[in-house]
Amino acid sequence: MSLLEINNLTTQFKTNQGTVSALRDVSYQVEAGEVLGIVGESGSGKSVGMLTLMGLLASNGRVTSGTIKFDGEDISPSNLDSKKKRNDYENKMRALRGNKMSMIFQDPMTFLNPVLKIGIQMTEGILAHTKCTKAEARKRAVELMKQVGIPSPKNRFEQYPFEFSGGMRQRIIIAIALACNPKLIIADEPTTALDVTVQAQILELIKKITKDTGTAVIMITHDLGVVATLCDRIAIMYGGKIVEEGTTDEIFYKSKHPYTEGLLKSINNSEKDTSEPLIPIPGTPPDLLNLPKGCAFMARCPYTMKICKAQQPVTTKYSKTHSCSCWLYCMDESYITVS
Amino acid sequence: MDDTAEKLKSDWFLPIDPSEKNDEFIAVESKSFLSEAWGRFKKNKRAVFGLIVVIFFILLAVFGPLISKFTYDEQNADVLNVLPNPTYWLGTDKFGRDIFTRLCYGARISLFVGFVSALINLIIGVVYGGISGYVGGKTDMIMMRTVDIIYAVPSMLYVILIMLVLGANVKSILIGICIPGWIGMARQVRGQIISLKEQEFALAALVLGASSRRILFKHLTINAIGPIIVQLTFLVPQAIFTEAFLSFVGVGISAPMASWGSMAQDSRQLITMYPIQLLWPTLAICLTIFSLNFLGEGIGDALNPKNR
Amino acid sequence: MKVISQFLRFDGGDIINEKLLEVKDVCKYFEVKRGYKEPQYVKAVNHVSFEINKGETLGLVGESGCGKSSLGRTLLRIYEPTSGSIKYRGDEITHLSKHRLLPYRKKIQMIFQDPYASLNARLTVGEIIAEPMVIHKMYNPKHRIERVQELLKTVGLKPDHIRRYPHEFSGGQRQRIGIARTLALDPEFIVCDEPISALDVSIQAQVINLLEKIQAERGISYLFIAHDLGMVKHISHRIGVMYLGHIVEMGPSNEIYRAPYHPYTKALLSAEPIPDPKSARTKKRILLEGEIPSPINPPKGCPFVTRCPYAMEDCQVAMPNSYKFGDRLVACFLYSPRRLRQRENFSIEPLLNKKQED
Repeated sequence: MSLLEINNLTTQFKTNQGTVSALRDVSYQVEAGEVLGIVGESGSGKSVGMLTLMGLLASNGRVTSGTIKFDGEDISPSNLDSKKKRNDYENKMRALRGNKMSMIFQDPMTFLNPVLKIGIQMTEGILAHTKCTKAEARKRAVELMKQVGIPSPKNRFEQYPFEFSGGMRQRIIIAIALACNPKLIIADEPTTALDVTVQAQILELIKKITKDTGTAVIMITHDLGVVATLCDRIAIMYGGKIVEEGTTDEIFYKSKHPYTEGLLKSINNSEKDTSEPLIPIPGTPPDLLNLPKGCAFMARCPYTMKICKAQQPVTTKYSKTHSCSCWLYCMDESYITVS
Repeated sequence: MDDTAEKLKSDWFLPIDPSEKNDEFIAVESKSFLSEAWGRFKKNKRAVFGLIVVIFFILLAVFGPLISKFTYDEQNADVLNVLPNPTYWLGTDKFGRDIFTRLCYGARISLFVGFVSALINLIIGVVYGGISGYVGGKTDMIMMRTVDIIYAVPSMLYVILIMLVLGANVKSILIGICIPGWIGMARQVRGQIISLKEQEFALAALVLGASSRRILFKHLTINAIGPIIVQLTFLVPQAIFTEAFLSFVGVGISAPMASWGSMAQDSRQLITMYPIQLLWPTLAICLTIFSLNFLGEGIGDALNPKNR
Repeated sequence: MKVISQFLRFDGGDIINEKLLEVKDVCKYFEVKRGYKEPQYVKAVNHVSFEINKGETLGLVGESGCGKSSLGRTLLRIYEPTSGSIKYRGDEITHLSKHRLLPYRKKIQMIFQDPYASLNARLTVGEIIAEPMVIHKMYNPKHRIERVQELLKTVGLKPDHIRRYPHEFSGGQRQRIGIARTLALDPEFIVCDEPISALDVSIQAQVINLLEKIQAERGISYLFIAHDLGMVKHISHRIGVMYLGHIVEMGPSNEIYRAPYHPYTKALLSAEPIPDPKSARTKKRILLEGEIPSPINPPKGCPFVTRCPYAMEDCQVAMPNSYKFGDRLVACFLYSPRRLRQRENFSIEPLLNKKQED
């Protein structure tokens, strides 16, 4: 059994202009101890997916279908039609968040409360989820700070967030996330706000932690360099759907979906020679307010066929781990349901 | 038969015509900023209510005296303190003057004072605050300290002093309200300009070689229009209130000219016997100020780009 | 299967050996006042010198707070330089008055980072692109509209987008509108201040290719400021690496990426996550300790001394000179003639091993 199983998750937002389909029929699993990278551009639904999973959707968001199973427990956020069900769900999630499942956010500057000492913010979660005294919690916090590489943690314990640099704050956030020995850490662009040399430090730290503690990590990012460095498996999202999923090598060397292919060709690798041209993906990302009936990538794809406009593509499997949703790989009439 | 069906279906796998792709699509329908704001404003029931009431009072001020058979100072000893009836729609006061007519004249004064003072404050405030915020440095320091000094004197004092010098009339009320009135606007605009001038579109204009005047008015002020209009809609009720208050305490509009404040003052003595006479001016003041506040709030929400 | 339509790679035209911009010893200090204490200075740009030739792209890389954006803005006189000289085609423009600077504004332009903030939201696209022509009184109104439409086509948008407002466009499209506005003046030199860092990955290449195409067609020079090392390498002929207000290394981009000299450049390049899992696994990283020091209190001596794995006593005391090797410059004591005489080649790694043994 997988640590996390997500099936057919669909999330919508009601806005003034209409319904935004942020997540459409998304399914994936995370095994214990693995690092899954979720790659996508802004508006691809990668962050909404994680907020849905954590039960932290904004008030205008609604999960219309789908099931989530985490560590054997059912935490599906759909069909919460009665107040009791909603309360049950809220309580379940409150017990899980920061405990078995924790999150690292993008901006280390806004996550920490500027008027509370680092120590208080670190022990808060420990005290909430485990039965221990303040002294024990403090001991654990100092231990964690040591683990994430903060020098002289005992002095740092009494300091305020503004006395920490960006990289140090991100380390503190990672330490807070680790506080209750989570089984799963969800990291939403944890290094985007950081400089390259600091990013390298943090990536190294996340790598070390997954190796030492066996925690599974879902890494949400737009940076293909980061996933290549860190992840075991990768899911590529576009227009609220997972278009391709596979191990890191499968995605980078045997990519199937035209979007994945396009992404890899449009970035420059500084180890490559400069004279190789960049091949951009033309056009603009789709508007989630009125997605086409067929494939969301249709308008930008170099291989668009007539069917792509009319019907959602079918998922094809290549190996146990590698799958891709594109009509190019299942040109078989039997899949066609439209006329 | 089977062959044709198969052929039809395989057509699905032919490349699509490039014209059907439209990859440089534009997400939203084209709408100018103001028409979009109007769309949001229309949805706000309180604001629309406010707008209707304000328009009602404006119509009353303009056309009320024309449809009335009486004048504001025509006294009639036969009909003192009459209750509302078909001839005297809202009754008469202790001198036998028609309250409806007086109310319409009062609306003229109140709305005139409100809108004209707001307009004057708008112009002075935007120019002063804009220059102060844009130029910055020592100029800003001196301009803002001047404002602080003007602000340090209670605003009622200005009004009363000017009344003493220029006499009790609409002109001196206007001047009295305007001397300290533009300060809030100037401070608001200055704050907006300071934050906007660091934005890249302002830098872009600078790099393109635009003159300071162009940057300030074409780029910065136009982007601060939301807060400016909101501030403006709160200046109007403030001025109306000040005028009413002054007339009520007896230093504003002098008899026999009618203003809502002086009407309230006149009927104050009869409050135990004819409370209805006090009701009309008070109701007019309350409704106008309420509606203008609703209106201001509604405009503020409609112009806020976060509500998009 | 159809081949993906190949985009032509423009080689950036020919770099003509004609100095367009000469920057010498430029400093920009910002005053920070804290209460009644003595004013302190943020030394954002510290004695920076370089030249840009016609048709050339100079890439400027560095981490946040290294002064690369301040440098770009100082060149455009958005910030007044504290000292030093900026020459455009030999004309001194460092201290020209606003009015006298106007003709140079046509030639030196800028593309901004944030496509959402750099366009005035209250104006239509047509008004935005026409604005530089209005300011400089170029063409008549009818001709301006034609030119706006032409420029929209140049950047890959449709001429009928002219009446639209910026918020109706996506980030990449807005960035292209910004480029069209810049091109309206026919500039010869453009400072690109992180023009792609706010864009989605799939859109970045569009903008880079557009900039390269424009360069090939019009022979424009760029100062390309960015922190994405891969993209900078792609577009730049030469690269300058900045750290704490100083340019610590400069040279042809391929050479710098192949064999960086300065210890900071080495660390920066090794820290970049490579989008290629195989080389990511084998890549040896130099993990720097700590973070960039505050530019209010920069270290005495070499700015990099606090994090440098090779730091020596000299580095604590004095700022190293720039040493020239061919077209490359490096500001590090390890490359001083004295130090170079002590070892046979440019490689400095053995020094590190020796240091660890000690």
